[in-house]
Amino acid sequence: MRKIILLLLSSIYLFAFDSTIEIVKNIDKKARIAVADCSAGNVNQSVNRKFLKLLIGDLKVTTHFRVDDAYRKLSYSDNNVLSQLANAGVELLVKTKLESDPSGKLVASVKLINAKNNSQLYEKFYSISKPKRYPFLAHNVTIDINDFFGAPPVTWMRKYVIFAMYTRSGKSSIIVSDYTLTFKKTIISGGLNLFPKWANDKQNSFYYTSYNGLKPTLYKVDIYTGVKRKIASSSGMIVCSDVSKDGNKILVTMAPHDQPDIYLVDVNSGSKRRLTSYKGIDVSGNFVDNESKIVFISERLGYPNIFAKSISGGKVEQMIYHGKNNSSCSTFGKYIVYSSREGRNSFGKNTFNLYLISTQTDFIRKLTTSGKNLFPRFAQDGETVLFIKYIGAKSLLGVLRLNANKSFLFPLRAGKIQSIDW
Amino acid sequence: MKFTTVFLLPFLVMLLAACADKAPELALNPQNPSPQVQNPEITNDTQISNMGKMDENVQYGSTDERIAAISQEVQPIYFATDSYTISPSEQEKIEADAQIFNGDLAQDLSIRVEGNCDEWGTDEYNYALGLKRAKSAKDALSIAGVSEGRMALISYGESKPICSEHNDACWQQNRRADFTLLP
Repeated sequence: MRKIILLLLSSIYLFAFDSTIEIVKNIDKKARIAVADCSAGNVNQSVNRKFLKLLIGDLKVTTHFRVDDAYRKLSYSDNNVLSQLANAGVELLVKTKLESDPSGKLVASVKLINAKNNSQLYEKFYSISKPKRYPFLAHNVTIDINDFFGAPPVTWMRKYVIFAMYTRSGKSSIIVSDYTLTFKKTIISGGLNLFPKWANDKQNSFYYTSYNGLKPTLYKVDIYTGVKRKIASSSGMIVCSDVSKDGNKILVTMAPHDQPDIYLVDVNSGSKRRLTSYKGIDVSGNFVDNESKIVFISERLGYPNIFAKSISGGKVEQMIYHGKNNSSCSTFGKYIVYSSREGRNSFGKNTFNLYLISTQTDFIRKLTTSGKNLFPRFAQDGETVLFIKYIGAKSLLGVLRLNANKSFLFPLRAGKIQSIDW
Repeated sequence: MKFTTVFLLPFLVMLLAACADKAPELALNPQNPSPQVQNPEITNDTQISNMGKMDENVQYGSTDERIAAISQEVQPIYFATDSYTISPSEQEKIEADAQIFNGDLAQDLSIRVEGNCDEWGTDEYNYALGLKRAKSAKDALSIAGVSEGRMALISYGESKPICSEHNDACWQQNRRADFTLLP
């Protein structure tokens, strides 16, 4: 069974060599998977229901399965009903038993079963010491199911998302969450706090801009100890837009002479080197090509667009020849995902959409079609893009699965998302 | 008889001429009537007082009160979409604001020039655009005579909207440079 699924997935992904080409999947070839509630009586049923709903949602987001989202209550040990499920077309069954142990931990026992021949594929146990973080239990269960079948990994699901949220005029907080916004914890509050950026892959610290002193100031914060360290300050503005792989250097937009430019800052020594010198706007630098170059936003042609230049100096190269306002982008290898306004009309319903290009082909692929879609961020796998979507006054976190050409939206109930990172 | 007529006739002619002069005709110029004709009500017993020059001096209980009072007179500068150029109509406000900033009440105060944007576009770009708007306003004030050393810049991007409606009028209000006076 596993080999068949692996073969099917492999044959489909053969066409994923260039993500700019749209993939049309044959939905009948994905395995149909169902989730069963086998929870014990000692667990909060509200948490249990939310956990099951999240697990079903996560399996859908992988885009590697056809998910049966009907609610089923089954015995964890009794397999008598499996033949009925098989007759209903269910090929895989995930039995989950959520319970609280005496120490207060939340424990999830999971069995993955081949419903067609009643064979147990595996059994695993997951626990979490802070029950409020139950979404990560669901995410870890999904990651393991996905990995078992050899599908392209979805390990980004267990990553923290960090975002700034406007609470009212002149006030914003910084929040750490899971990708569905189900778990949320406010890390920084009080005053105007913006542009959080993870400092490393471990996500144990982050940079952010504080407007609560005399000048805008960039800080680095340890999320586990709360210890804060000043990195730099600047009149006008200061934003950390990218971090090198080793974490020792950051790209910062700052304006020490009232002029916004991109600087390369060594976080250990504090030394700064100016990388751009255009008299207008240069902002949002991102490392590319093994950190030998930067891609950035500039209005040197009269409108915001995407350019590249070597860190060691030299000419500036225009990267995008499409759109009238390309004010944010993210890079992964040879790919650039950017937010673009196509029309000359500044305002309207479908003005900012996401596009994907490869630096090695002429193809442009449109990724969204409605709302205002901004601030794209590639996941580490390069196959998933996180972005902010605004529909009217509502903010939503969007997750775009490039190879499946599907996006999933998670609304923020209150406040406005200002910037994101993961 | 002839002797009397000869000697009396010149006297009679002279007498007639003198009487005619008693009531001379006034040739009034309608373009410039005499003041007496213009103000027939003024008579010798009318009293006219003048105001005299007065020195006006406003006293404020505190610097904060003074700043609050001055701030009410200061006008924000508005910008077109995606632009940080000051239009001619906004330039008039720059001139007016410069006069206020250089006036007696404000000349010892610092000025923080704050750039703002509407909600369109990514906020990171908007912070840079807001900064350019603040810079344009600062440069214009400097040309109008406000000392550069008194002015500091900051950008708030789209973080400080004055209104939250999703329409052209609201977005225009948010694309602005504000001035905050500081002790």
